[in-house]
Amino acid sequence: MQILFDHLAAVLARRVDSKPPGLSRRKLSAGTSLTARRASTAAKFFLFALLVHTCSSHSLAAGASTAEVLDRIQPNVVKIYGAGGFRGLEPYQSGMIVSADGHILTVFSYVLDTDQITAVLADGRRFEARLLGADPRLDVAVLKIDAAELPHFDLGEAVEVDAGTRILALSNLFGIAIGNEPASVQHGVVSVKTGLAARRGVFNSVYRGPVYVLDAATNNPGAAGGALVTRTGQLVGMIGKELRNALNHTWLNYALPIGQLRESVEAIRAGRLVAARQDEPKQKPARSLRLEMLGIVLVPDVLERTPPYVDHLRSGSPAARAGLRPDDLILLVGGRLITSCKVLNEEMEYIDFEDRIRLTVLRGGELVELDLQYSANGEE
Amino acid sequence: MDDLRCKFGHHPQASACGYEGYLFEISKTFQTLLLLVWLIGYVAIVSADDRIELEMLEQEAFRAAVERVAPSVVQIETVGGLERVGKVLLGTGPTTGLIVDPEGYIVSSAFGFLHRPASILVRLPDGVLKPAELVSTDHSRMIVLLKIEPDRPLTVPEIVPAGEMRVGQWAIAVGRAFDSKQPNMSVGILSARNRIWGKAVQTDAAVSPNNYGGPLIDVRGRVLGVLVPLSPHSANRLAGYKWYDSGVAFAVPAEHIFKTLPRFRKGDLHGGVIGIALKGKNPSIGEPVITACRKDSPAAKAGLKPGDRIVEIDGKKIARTADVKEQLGRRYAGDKVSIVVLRGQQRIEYQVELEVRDWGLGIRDWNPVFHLDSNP
Amino acid sequence: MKRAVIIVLLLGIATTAFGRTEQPPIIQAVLEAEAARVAVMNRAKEAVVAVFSPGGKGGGSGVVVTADGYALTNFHVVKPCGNAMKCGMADGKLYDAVIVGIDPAGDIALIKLFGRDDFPCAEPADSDLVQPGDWCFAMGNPFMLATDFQPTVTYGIVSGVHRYQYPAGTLLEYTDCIQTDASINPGNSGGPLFDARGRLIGINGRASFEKRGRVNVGVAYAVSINQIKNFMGHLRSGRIVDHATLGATVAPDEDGRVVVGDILENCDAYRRGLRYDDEVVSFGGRPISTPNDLKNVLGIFPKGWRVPLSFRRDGRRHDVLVRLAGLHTAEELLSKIKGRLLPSPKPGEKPKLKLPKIPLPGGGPKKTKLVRPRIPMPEIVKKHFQQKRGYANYYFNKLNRQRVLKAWAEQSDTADCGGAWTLAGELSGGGAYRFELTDSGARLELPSAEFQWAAGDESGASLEPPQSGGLLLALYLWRRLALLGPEQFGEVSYLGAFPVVGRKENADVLLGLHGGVECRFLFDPADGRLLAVEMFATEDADPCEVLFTEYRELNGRLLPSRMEVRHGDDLYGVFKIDANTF
Repeated sequence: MQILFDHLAAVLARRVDSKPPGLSRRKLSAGTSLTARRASTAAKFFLFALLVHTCSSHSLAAGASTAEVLDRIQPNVVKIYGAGGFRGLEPYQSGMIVSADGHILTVFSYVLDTDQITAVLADGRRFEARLLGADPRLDVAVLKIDAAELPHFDLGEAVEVDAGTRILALSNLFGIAIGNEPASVQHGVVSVKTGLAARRGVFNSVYRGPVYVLDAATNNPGAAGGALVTRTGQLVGMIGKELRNALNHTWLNYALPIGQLRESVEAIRAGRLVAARQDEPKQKPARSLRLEMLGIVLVPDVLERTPPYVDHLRSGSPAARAGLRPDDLILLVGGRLITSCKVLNEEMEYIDFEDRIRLTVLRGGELVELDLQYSANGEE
Repeated sequence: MDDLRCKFGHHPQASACGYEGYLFEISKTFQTLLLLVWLIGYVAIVSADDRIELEMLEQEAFRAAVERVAPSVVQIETVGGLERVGKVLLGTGPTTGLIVDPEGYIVSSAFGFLHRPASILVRLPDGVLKPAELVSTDHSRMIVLLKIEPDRPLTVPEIVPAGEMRVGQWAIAVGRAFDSKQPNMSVGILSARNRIWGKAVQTDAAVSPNNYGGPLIDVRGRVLGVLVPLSPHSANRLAGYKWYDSGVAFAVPAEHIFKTLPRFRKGDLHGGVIGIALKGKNPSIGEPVITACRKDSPAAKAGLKPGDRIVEIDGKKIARTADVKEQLGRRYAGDKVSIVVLRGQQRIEYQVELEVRDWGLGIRDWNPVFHLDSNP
Repeated sequence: MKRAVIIVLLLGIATTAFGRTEQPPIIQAVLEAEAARVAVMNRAKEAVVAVFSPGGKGGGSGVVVTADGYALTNFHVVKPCGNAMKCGMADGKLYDAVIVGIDPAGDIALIKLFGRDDFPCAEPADSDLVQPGDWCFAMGNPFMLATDFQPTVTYGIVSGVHRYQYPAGTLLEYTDCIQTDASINPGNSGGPLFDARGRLIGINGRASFEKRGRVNVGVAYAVSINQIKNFMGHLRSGRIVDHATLGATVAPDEDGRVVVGDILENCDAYRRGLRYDDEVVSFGGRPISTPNDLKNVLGIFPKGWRVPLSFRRDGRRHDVLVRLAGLHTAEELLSKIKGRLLPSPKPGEKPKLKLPKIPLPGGGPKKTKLVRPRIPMPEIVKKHFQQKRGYANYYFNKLNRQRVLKAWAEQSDTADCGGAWTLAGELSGGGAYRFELTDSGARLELPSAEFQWAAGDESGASLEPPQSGGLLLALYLWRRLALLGPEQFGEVSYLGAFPVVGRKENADVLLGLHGGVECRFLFDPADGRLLAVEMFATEDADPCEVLFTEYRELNGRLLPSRMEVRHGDDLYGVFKIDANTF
């Protein structure tokens, strides 16, 4: 039956890559190279096999069921117990075994802020766990338990996936699995791959890199550190801490791509210090640009979300020279959306006073783009 | 094997076996057969449950469906406006819209505009940014109509006729809230049709401000409806919002939106109000007996009286309060309906023109108790 | 090129065959699977019920399980309804329903709908075969959206099996339950969880909620249908059903074994030999490796069932059958269900016994009071309801008692045999015997001895013959039930369905009380024959068990020709019946 599924795979590949179907090509070459009789025999045999298969769809399942995939990977997920247990801080979280000799990848959180961390495997075995190290910039930690020949995920084999990929999320959310039982599993798809830093201040998270947003309610108390896998069980990501979107006040369900964490995990395991990552959030410059330096005076900021209309311009200022006009509504600064006077002022803090900026304004129903630059002496 | 050989030997083209010149033809014949059987076998295999192969095919189908509708899904940004409506903090995040007309008409969820923004920006799937005007609001279905001036005709999506929708079919909620370049998707099924008094269909896909205003599509990428928060128990502007991402979500059928578009373009639409109260708290089990008619209401003007039992609306049999709400709740102000009541033994038919009033449906809101055990 | 033409042609055929056009081949398989699911759900929804309290305030969900209208729901759904409820079904009709039996500890209630004898009903699956990752779907009336009675369908997978969720006090304990990520919301309670083929695997009743409020966050629980199957007979009895206790506590020792910590000396487990520090190996056919395992398995059995228990002492394994005691006394149970339901505690937290401020776990408005609806009961419900202390609805107890006795009478036809009953024959070990049963007592003649028991001595002073546990009294009561019927016997009620040693099917059990003696009569539900009599002379002692087998026709009556008598772990004797007179 393997052949059959090779064919399926080939058809899939054809669909995705627009390549000619491997199935047909292979069959054709076989047919032409053999004598007709042999070809017919071979083909008939194949047909027979297919018919048999068709008649007994259940018994001849060549592919694994989800239950079989889970049997294989659920033992890789562990329940972690540590500090907490007050003010809504659950004293537990999830983790995944990443080496046969007991390295556990999890999130760096208050739960680990104790000398007594316990890791409970899916079969109920309990181990005292040691915090081997953490990377606070990524919010990840690696624990170590004294064990050998453990089932585990190989971080090197983790895969990158796209939006629409069907996933399973394995975690001990709400601490449901209490004894010798495996953690919970939820299903969903990757809703979109996006960056947590795409918008400043939207997510109160230390981690600023790309995440897989999920369409399942995965990021619940106790779930952080759980594993995100494809439907065939390939490791994709680690479930992050609970996070709320400050823009629309909804809870975000997401996982961190393993590729973002691998380097840190290796460094912690090797006892090396992890070098600072290059894609740190943008720092505020020593001296920021301010609106008054450009000669822009906005309407009085009286509302929570006063639209950033230009009230007037200082004559001869950079803004006036660039062609900004009163009553222009400032919409974008360097491509970033400005939703209110407050947001505009905050955004300016990230711009160096010497940098040239591009404003997009709404003027009479039209979008107008303007380039501005501050000059110390007011001249250009 | 032998039996099979005989069987296939009867095939007219296979009987040509032995002629060297037909070699290629034969292989092609087998190929044809192979493919045919393969197709049959293929369907048989993948129709079994819990098979990863099917799941992978479905995954491809989901992606293809989203790709298909994506050119009609836009990102909408708003500027300025209120911070909150009542006690609810409103978001400022991007929201999603669906193109319904090549000339630049776009529908979205009214939820994204409750803060009355000073300005609206639409980012088209090709990245072009356009200022937008809010043309009108459907206060009954909580949908807004926006208009932009596109540089070239926009892509209008294919829709699923309401009659073709089936409970249990795939339903994919599409938004463009995270990234203007790629849509975000969540997958579920159609949970029910004919919800919110006939105004919406229901899905268990994750629906939230991240895709309100976006389309709910079938597995072939055709639009089932437009995602909006709604509740049958309240006409409040925020009704249904607290159910975001809970597996209970609604979409206004695309067919309705397209059908109503000419009227919608002309101005706001309001739910039609009749102005009666009916017996019992729970509309599901309440009897359709009028307990009160508002003064000057359409009902009163038409001549309906307390004690009347409604038996028919526009030819539809009425048995419970819910039937009344379903027949009237989906209509707009200005719509005319014929209502048959029983007064004693007498059967009387009335023509009633529904009006705009601020008393909601004219049938009081209801705060039911929903049972579910919980652990904190 | 030609190849491409063929492929296109074939695809053309395929697409035409499936009535679709312009679609790539992959979608065909997906659409086929989708259509199959739609069909399954369309069929499944027919049996789903929207449960409304007649007062109109609240409601939940349910599912019909028999064609004559018995439906399952949650106890916490029917509790505010009182004894009658309205049920909407997918046919668009509203049906009257009455309470039948309740299981407050397991959060299950059985109700009966009226108006049809051909209700669509759900087919139960074997929920022990359910695995994590299996697709499943829930149906019900979340947030009361089903104003047209078409249930909401939500699709998901099984997230975990054999889960344990703590009770509120001792009620609403979710043991051995199924965890799912199909969206379950307030109002879904009592509704069905189906497997991918549309077979009933559980009753949804609980969810874990996050700080966001009472909406689903990916975790919900269903009482397994296998547990409910165990309780079905008890629920049909119209009783307030109790859960069970082993009479012993267990704890892990240093080696991780589960050992007995405390054990009551008057419990059956003690009498079967279980002692302090014994290692519990398996219970109810399931291996036990944590104390929680035991708690989980205990929850699926009703009070009074005999369940296999294996324990190890000094390396030797003992396999016994243990009769489970009730978790509550009858009074405790009554007073507990009268009060408000407590919200469930967090895991690890000690169950609170004082009333907290939050009322019903059903939640909803804070002011919810337990309202006895003043709405008059519909006539059909009135006809099927009878109040009696200790019962949810005594009507159904009488109904089942009648059913069982009628089937027995038709089969044995002994009702008019008012004279002395004699049974005679040979003991399996050799030697003749003769029983004589009359209104005034019973007598057994053996070659070596003669035993006698006189009526009026029911209190248990003389349990003749010795070592039998009261065989003569048991047989006397057997004759008494056959002759006098339920009304004059003493007090006879239907107890439920119980397992019988050596049989696959459960037996219907009648409980007879006479002069302080409790006697259970076990009947074959298939043909009404009496399978066994278990006579409990005192509450804390082993009963005298009389097993009737090898039925054959004698003088126009179908009667047992073999009678096996057991007491405790011992076989008292086997009586082959060659002759009997009535």
